[in-house]
Parts: sequence; C-alpha cells; structure tokens
Amino acid sequence: MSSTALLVVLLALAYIGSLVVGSRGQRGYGLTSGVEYLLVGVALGPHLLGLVDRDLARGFGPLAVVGLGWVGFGAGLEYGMSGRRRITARGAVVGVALGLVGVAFVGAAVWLSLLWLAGLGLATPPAREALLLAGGVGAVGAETARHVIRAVVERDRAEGRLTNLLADLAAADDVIPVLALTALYAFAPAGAADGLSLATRIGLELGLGVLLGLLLAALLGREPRLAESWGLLLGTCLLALGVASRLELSALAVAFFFGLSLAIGSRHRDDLRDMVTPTEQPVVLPLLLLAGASIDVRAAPYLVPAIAVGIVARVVVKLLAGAGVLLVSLRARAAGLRVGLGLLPSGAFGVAIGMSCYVALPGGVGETILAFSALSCVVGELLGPPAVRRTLVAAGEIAGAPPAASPPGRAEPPAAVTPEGGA
Amino acid sequence: MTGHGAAPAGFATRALQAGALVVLFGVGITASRLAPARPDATAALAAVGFLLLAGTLLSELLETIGLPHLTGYLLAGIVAGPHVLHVVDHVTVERLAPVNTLALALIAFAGGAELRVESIREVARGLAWATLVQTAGVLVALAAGFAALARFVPFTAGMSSSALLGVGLLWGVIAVSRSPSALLGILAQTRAKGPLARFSLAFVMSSDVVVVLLLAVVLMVARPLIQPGAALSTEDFAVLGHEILGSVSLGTTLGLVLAAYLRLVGKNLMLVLLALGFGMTEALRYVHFEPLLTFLTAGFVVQNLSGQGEKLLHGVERTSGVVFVVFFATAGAHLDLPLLRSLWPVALSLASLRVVATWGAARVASRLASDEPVVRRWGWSSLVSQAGLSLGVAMLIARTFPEFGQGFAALAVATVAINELVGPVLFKVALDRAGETSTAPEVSRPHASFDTA
Repeated sequence: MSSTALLVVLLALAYIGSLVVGSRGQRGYGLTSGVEYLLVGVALGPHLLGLVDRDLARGFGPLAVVGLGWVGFGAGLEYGMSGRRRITARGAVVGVALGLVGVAFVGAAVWLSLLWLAGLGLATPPAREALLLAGGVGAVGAETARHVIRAVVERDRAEGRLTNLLADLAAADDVIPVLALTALYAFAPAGAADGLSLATRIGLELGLGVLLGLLLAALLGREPRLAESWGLLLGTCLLALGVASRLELSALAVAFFFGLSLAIGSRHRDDLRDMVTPTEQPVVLPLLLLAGASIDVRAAPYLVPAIAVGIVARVVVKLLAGAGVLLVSLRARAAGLRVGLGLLPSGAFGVAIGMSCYVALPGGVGETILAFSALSCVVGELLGPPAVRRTLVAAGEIAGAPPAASPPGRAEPPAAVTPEGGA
Repeated sequence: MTGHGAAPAGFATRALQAGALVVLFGVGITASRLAPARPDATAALAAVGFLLLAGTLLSELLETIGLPHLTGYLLAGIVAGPHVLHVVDHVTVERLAPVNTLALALIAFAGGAELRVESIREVARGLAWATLVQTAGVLVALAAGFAALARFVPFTAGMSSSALLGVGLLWGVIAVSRSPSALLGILAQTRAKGPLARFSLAFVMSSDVVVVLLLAVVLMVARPLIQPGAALSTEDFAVLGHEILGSVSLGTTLGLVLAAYLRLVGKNLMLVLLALGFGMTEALRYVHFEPLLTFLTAGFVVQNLSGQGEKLLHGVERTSGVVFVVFFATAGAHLDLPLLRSLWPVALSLASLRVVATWGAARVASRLASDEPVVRRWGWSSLVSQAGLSLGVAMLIARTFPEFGQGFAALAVATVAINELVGPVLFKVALDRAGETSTAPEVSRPHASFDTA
C-alpha cells in the first residue's frame, strides 16, 4: 500500500473517531477505555481476519510516533488537573506514591517470574532485555486511566470527596509511567545516538520537552491568536517529536514534558486544553486500532507467562493501593478493598506506553509489553468501572445512593465539589 | 504574536521572537550534528516542525520592515535548507512533497471558491483583455528575448535557429505561468479588498487554465521545430481535451458532493479536505486528470452553485494557514543556490525581461479595457510571482525534450527562484500603495477552540 493510501486510511479513521467522540461525549454510550477499538484492531490483525498484516501495521510507524506524541502532549498539558480543578496536594502525593509502588511491584514480579522461567530451562530474554521487559510492563501496570474514572463519574453524576480523591489519584500517577519510559528509552539499545551516555539521554528527553514547552509559552505571550497558536503549537510539537525520533528518545515522554512545561509556563493553559482536547480522540482511535493489529501473542515463548504474571501483579498492587486509600479516606471504608479495583482501569494512555515500548524495543520484549498493555486495558475495562461505581455508591457519592455510614465521631464534612469533578 | 493589521508588536516581543529563532536554529543544528537523519518518514517530522516555527517567526520579524510573510517563509527554508545550515537535508526536502500536494489542492479549492460569478462579471472586460494581451505579449517577448540571449545559455549551443525559436516558445509558456499560491498567501495575510485584489485573483486563477491549454499548443508547435524529424501532431490536443473535460466534469461532481456534505453534515471539514487533498490528488494523477483544475472547478461550483462557499473558504483558510508556511518554507529549502549562483546573470536578465513584458502588457490591456486607475497602475504586480506551477511546467518540458531538458529545467528553477522572492514583495507593496490592505485589527482569540466537528 502506498504512503498516500495509508494516510487516507488514517484520516478516515480519524474522521470516524471524531464522529464517535462528537456523538457519544463523556456521558453517552461506548466503553470508557476505548477498548472496543483495540479489539477491532486485533480482529483486523493477522490472528483473525488478516486484513492488516504486520508489514502494513509497521508502515504506520512514523504516524504512530505522531499519535504517541500527541497523546503524551495531551497528558502533559492536563497533568495535575482534574477537569478544570487542580488536584489536591494529598491526591498528588498519594497518586505519585501509588504509581511508584505500582511500577516497582509489577516490574519486580515480572522480572522474578522471568528468572524463575529461566531456572526451569525455558527460553527467556537476556538479562538486559529482561530488565527492559519488567520495566516496560511495570510502567504500563502503574497507570490508572483518568478518562475512565472521569467517564464513570460523569455518567453517574458522582460528587464528593472520594470521587475527587479517585480522580486525583488517576490524574497524578501519569507522570510515573512517563518517567519509567524515559529511563527505559535511555537504557534501551540505541542506534543513531549510541554515543550518548545514559544521563545525557535522560537529560535530553527531559530538557528538550521542557525547553520547547517554555519557549512556546513565551511565544504565545499574552494574547494568542488562533492561526498563530496552531502554527506555533504544531510546529513546536512536531519539532519535539522529530528531534526525539532522530535521537531515538521517547516521543511520548518528550511530548509529555513539553505539554507539562507549557501548561506550567503559559497563562493560557485552559485555552490550550480546549484547543487540544477535541483532537485527542481522532488520534487515539487509529492508535488503538494500530496497537490491536500489531499484537502477536506468538512473538516470544515467555510472552504469555510474563503477561499473566503482570496482570495478576497489577490486580494485587491495585488492591494494595486500595488499602492505602482506605487509610486516607474514611468514606472509602464503606466500599472496602473494592476501591482498589476501582484503580484498575487502563486506557489509551497505557496502550500508548505499550506502543512506545513496542516501537523502541523490537522483538519479543516490545511485543510482550504491547500485548500486556492491551490485556491490561481489557481487564481494567471489565473490572474497573463497575468497581468505581460500586465504591462510589457505597460511599453515597452517586446521586440516589444512600450516604455512607461513617464511623461514629469521625464523620467527614461534605466536600466542596466542582461540577467538573472528574479527572 | 501579531497578525497583519493587529496592533504592532513591541520591541520586547520582537526580541523574544528573535531569541526564539536563535534557540530554534540551535536545537535544529545540535540535533542534526548529534545524529544523522533517519532514512524513514520520522525525519520529516522535525523538518516540518522546524520550518513551521522558523517560517512563522521569521515572517513576524520581517513584517517590521514591511516584507510579506511569504518572504519570511521562503527565507526560513533557504537558511535551514541543504545549501546553507543543512538543518533540513535534500532527502527530507523530497520527503515533504506530500505537503506540496496538499497545499496545491487547498490553493485550488480556495482559488475556485474565491471566484464569484458576480466578481468575474465586474472585471470580465479587463480579464478578457489581460488574458489575451498578457498571454500573447509575454509569450512573444520572452520567446524573442530567450533567442536573443541564447549565446549566453550553455544548453542552446549548436542549436539551429528554428530549434531556438521552439525552445524560446517553451520558455515563453513558463513566463506566462503565475503563482496562485503566492497570490493567495499575500491576500490571506493582508486581507486586501478592492479592485486590484479582485482583478488579481480572477486573472491569476483563470491563468492556470490558460497555461495548461497554451502548454499543449506550444508543445505541439515546438516539437517539429526542435526535432526536425517530428511532424505536427494533433494527438496532444485530443489528450488535452480529455484531460480538461474530465477534470472539469469530475470537479463539478466533486463540488456538488462537497456542497451537499457541507449542507447536510458540515462537520470535520478539515479532515475531509486533508483526505481529498492527499487521496483525490493521487487518484486524479492515476487517471491523468489535472488536480489543480479539478479542485478549482470544485471550489467554483461550491461557491456559485450552492450557498456553502463561505463554509468551504473558512475551512480551507483554517487548514491552509499551517500548510502554507510549510509549503513555502519547503520551496525555499528546495532552491538550488549553487545553481542560482552559476546561472544568475542569464536568469536575472530573463526575469527582468519578464517583469518588463508583464508591465507593458498590463498597461496595454488596461488601456484597452478601460480598467480602473488602480488596476491600470498596479495590475501587473501580482503577475510577477512564480512557484510550483511554473516549476511543474518546466519539469514537464524537461521530460518531453531530454536532449536539452536538464539545462532548461535548471535555468527555469533559477529564474523562478528570483521571481518567487521578488514577486510577493512587489504585490504586497502594490496592495499597500493601492490602499486595499486591511487595517482592521485581527480578532484576538484568548479562548481559542479547535473545531474538528
């Protein structure tokens, strides 16, 4: 297929994506994580219908870089915010801590399982690749999809302290997978920029995004105009992605730090979010389809066991995270450990992390991380939203649900909730 | 950032833009030194981003000395290109060809949609005379001029006088071609309104069709002059007829479909235009139709046979803002500076002769048509710019006559480069002097929203 035909296909998918988001919105129908598009991709891929073979999927590589970068940019721009509300310091600290624990726990579980498999004489990747695999699965496993939490909250019109806390946790933990991805890319075997040290590569990933983000913030100045804003925004973003690709850095990570520094440095953060948000879904839909079509469960002998261990470890660490939430929120106690399952959703951002690893780490390692991100998304969709809903019902924060019975003498005051209380 | 007509930016803003430009070039140069460009399409990402930013910033800086934005885009491309700082290399410049495809499609859509029947009626007399006099006058003057300068043109050595006449006629066709993209770029920046803007738009857009027709006629006439064994063939006319009729028919159909879409759906116009620009152009080339003519017709149909013209123009305007910067910056990066250096005396002579011939023809045509004074005085200024269409014609001629094609194309590139740099400046100065440049401040968008829907 020619590059033009590929581009037209992608534009058609983006068109469908924007129609879907236009018609469904946050309160309408459709699965909250967008997992259905991932599954359509799997169906179109080589395992089922075979309409998109692996060569064709790889032909989309450069466009995937743009998609990943745009997702990263959107996440960076939105980081620290839950809708129009800035997340609380407590939510930020707990969210980041839970993210760190998630990376470490899931990563360690996968790494130990690979050691165990090697001990049994089964084929496993070499030590360096095993570390990359564990780190990649850990990075994907640490994330909680803020859009999924937000969708549940908006559909059920949830309001209250626990609602806000869950949204805050989901909004705060995005930075951890991105940092993990930054380290993974620096640690991964490099090509063009092989002469650079580990510290230089990490510094470049952070520095490039921050430099360009602050530069753009300064250029947008006090009164951005639509045409110039788009030109400058697209130009800076594409430059960041292009330089990142050239130096074999993570496009997603560079774009995340670009978006984050832009959001911090610019007084037009909300305007920029309003510009960028409607463009996310048209980008995400083709990306999910592409990810689905790229999955190959026969890519490596260790793929299935590594994924299974990763999924179990993720569920366990989220349950532990739920226990942590119980410590800081009295309202959550009415729901019990179920609140941990509410942190299980994974969505487009998790799949984008998986795709980034797939792009950087060819072979079984990247394939395994991508497949894990997809399965994590499916499991998160099955268990997460119902758990969030039940938790908030139990806490009395969903309209029509009975209020939670707080322990005597320790009742929490009603929360001051913004209408956009979601993440 | 400031747009044309906005309150002038202060020293601090300009200093910031200059500083940002320095940082930008620093990033670009450092990246290109640290790692060579990868042989895949991701290399083009950085180039597009770089050209977009550098073009925008440089155009803002040059605005302070009255130069058009387009000149800033071109200069940014030249400086960043493979012959100066090498931030964007040859391979990457070639990879950006799809941007040109898209830009030309958008230019044609906008050009067609800008052609309102009532406006054409207003300038119909002037347009008819200008088309006739400009085409004949410039063709003949440049053919004669080329023949006169032939002794300084290396690739004409040893040619017979009839062959020189044939090559001169081919050169004349290139001289007759104008640049719709430069015209629309300047009009978009200045938001000019008035007789000069109206006349220029109608003339340059319709001249595309004239050039396509003229090229076929001249190819038919020049072949037996250049290749003694060749006979006059009317086959080219049949092919041309098929191409034009097919393009107009398809353009009409596309215009009606687009009008229906705009009326019934109206959403995601940006995505639709992108898909049409890339996909439809490829399909049209496959069936040997002329994309420019097809999109021009489609835009014309939407504007004049439906009430959806403004929607289309608005959609094209939003999409083209970014695309034009990259298009012209890429054109700048594409300029072969070493070639220009070696051919500049002849190229400059031919470019000057073309300006003089265009000016003279414009004066004659305006007098015959009794144009308004402003058109009579400045009507020629929009006809100097040349860009993609002229180069396309040159490449076609080079392919048709391989015996001298390479040298011919090189000289055409050098001449078009001069016109590409000088033309937009001339036209902007003319619009300013004619008082047609808009002075209304641009609407500020503190709450800018991007509508994909």
